[in-house]
Amino acid sequence: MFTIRKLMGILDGNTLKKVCVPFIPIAMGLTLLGTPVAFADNAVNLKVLVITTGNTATGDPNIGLSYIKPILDEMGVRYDVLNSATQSLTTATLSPNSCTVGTAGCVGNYNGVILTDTDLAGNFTPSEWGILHAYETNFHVREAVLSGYPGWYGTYRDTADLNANNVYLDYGLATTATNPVAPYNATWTIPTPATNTGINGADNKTVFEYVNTANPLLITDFSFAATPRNDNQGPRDGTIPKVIQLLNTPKGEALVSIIQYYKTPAPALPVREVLLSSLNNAWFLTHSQVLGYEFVNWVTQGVFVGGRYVYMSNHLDDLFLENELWDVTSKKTNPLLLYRLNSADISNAVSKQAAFRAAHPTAGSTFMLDFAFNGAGAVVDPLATTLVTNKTDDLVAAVIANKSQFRFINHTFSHADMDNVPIPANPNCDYPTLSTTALIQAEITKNRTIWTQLGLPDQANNNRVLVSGNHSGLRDRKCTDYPELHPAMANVQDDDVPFITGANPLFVTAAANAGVDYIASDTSQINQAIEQHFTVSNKKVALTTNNTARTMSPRFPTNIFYNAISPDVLVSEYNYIFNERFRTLGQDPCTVAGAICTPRNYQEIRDAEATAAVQHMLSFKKYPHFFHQGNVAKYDAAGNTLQFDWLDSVFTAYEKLFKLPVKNDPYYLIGDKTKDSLTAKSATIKAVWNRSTNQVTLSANKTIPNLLVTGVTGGDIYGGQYIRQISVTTIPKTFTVNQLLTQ
Amino acid sequence: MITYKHSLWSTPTLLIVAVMVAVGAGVPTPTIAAPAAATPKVDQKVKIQKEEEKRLKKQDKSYIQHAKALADQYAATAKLVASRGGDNRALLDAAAYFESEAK
Repeated sequence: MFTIRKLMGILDGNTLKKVCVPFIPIAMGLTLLGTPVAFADNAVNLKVLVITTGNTATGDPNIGLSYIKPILDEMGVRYDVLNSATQSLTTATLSPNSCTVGTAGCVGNYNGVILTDTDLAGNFTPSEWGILHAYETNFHVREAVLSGYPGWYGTYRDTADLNANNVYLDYGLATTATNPVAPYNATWTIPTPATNTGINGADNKTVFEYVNTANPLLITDFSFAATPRNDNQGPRDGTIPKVIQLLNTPKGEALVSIIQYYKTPAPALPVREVLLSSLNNAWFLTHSQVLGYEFVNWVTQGVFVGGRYVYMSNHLDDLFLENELWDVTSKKTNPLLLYRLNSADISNAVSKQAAFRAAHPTAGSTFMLDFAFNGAGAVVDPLATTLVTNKTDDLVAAVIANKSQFRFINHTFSHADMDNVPIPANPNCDYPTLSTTALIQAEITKNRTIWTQLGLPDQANNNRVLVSGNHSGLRDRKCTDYPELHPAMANVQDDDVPFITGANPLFVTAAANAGVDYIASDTSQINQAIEQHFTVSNKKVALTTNNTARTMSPRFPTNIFYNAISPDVLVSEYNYIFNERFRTLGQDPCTVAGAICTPRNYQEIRDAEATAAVQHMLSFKKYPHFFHQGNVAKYDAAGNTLQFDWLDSVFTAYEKLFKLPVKNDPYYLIGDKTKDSLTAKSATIKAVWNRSTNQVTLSANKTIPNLLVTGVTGGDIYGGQYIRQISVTTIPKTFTVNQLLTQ
Repeated sequence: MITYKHSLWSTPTLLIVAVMVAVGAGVPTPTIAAPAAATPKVDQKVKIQKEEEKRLKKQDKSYIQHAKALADQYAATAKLVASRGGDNRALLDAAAYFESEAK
């Protein structure tokens, strides 16, 4: 939790006077000390500088940048990247005309610095390190280091400096000779506010507050371990580093620490602070995703443009239809084995949903499944001119009776394929196509008619979203969809034309005509794991920055297959797909990318799914996970279902790591947020934090209706911080900073 | 009743390889059975997490270059530390680890 003391904690004695005078009235009331004096020379832009090592040989960014960049992007944090391998750091990089605090009108360019590597692979000269540290000290800006060798005293000496103390980089640690062997459990030792009275800004209300630190954190990759030296030695700027261990090896060695640099003698407050990790961090590591937010939040002192939430929505496609099932004997999908939900399944789903909410507090009391439905399966005659819902149907009646327990999404009337009509005509196409915009639009509007007839909730909002059958219309499958029909093809997707070239302009036009704003995509497909606007231009689908166009709203697939309704079916299919079929072909699955070396049982599959889904959650992406109606079939007398088994595994794993409540938004709201995010990313934003007045001033080159900003008064309180949606325009507006947490 | 058959191509999230799912016939109605799997040990969860992370790592086309860069970086730092009289064993281990990852 951020406190007044935390803000003061990074300041040296002289500057403390400047900041505290105006800051106290904010906390205690303006009448106490009169009108605060504005110190325009104590300000920073709300922007992060990421300093990386790059890889000049391949032109590829380093692993740390690949890790932190998606986190910054997803949260909407503004940042610049400096590649130390190719670019020099100068004082002008950090402040206009190299100005310093005390210069009238000086605004530091950054309010946080992130280094991808402890020593930047030797790319920084001692002088550049000096420039960086001087800026951090002068502007009271924190630094986070994502990974690397923690060093020992004497590693980084300036050989051109003949002074006795020529150490230019020192983290106050001594690296142990033996590295921990992964996997292992790391333990948290973050001081509590009650016990850290001598430590500023480094307690469990200010750092990693969102983490469930009662549990150890599994480390699965390389790490250095180190111990605090506490030897009263420090770098040549005259500071002495003090190490506060936060995350440790089983032997108590430091893995993640805050290093506070104090002036001597008689240190009162640190003049500079660093959050240091010696773990190898990468986007694919769960432990890295747990840590990721704090690298950003801590360096910015909890004040930044952007924000994060954890999301989980589950879509069950094909409600009212029946799906073919996997045959455990023949190891094939069998068209004679069919499953369609029934009233007992719906009642069971209501009960299981309630039990799930009770068992997992982070899911909240209103967590709901979303059914993407096809009205053709809910009518007396889908070919009739006038559609009539079949309310005597067991499933239809059950859905109507329990409609308030779920949310619904338009999945088109008959699950029609929306792909391009083949040119030339292909009578052997695996799927039928619709040749006009009107026919496609009718698939959307007829399903709305059924929505109305069934009386399903929240139709007006949901008219803005669409899940096409099989996410069709966004890529062109070129008539090859079923492997069994194309034995000569190694992969029927080989001839696919991906989004955007393969998108069907008739489909996009029909969606626009029908007032659909947000179209579902499948993140496993090329170019579909991207939030983006698209439109039809010159009879082709094209990307656009126009936010009134259609917006892609990606969804995550899972390995709970559409044709599985029970664990034995799922286990059979899962192991066939990922293991057995390679052995059948004489291949070693251990050598095939994506395959698994040994078959898995149901619990292992659940664990694997939980790992993947929790990583999705910790990425802060809003994307729902999609399933199919048969996955919520009751498979045993206890009422268990594949769907709720999956949810239970995912939330059990999540709650071991995080304490944050999980957002379970309806799809249209996810679409709205996606649109807001794209609008913000397309704008040039100016955001300045004047630490003298403790206010942030925001403006942009265009209107941003809902810009997320963390650390200003108002908005949601989430994870103990304010996250506020602010309407930003070209006219600057000022907001009071509030890092103080109320829960 | 309308039956919808999905192509499995769009289903697996972890494997972008052909799935030969042939259409069969005359197979009886499926039995819905409870899972037979026993509750796994904790270390089994660790093993699965590591396997899944490894599969994701393999999907990162840049990882080999990243690992090679780290190996070179730590080897260079190891030389620096040795030249200044420090203990560089941790760095040599790191260089060896990332060198193996780069293969």
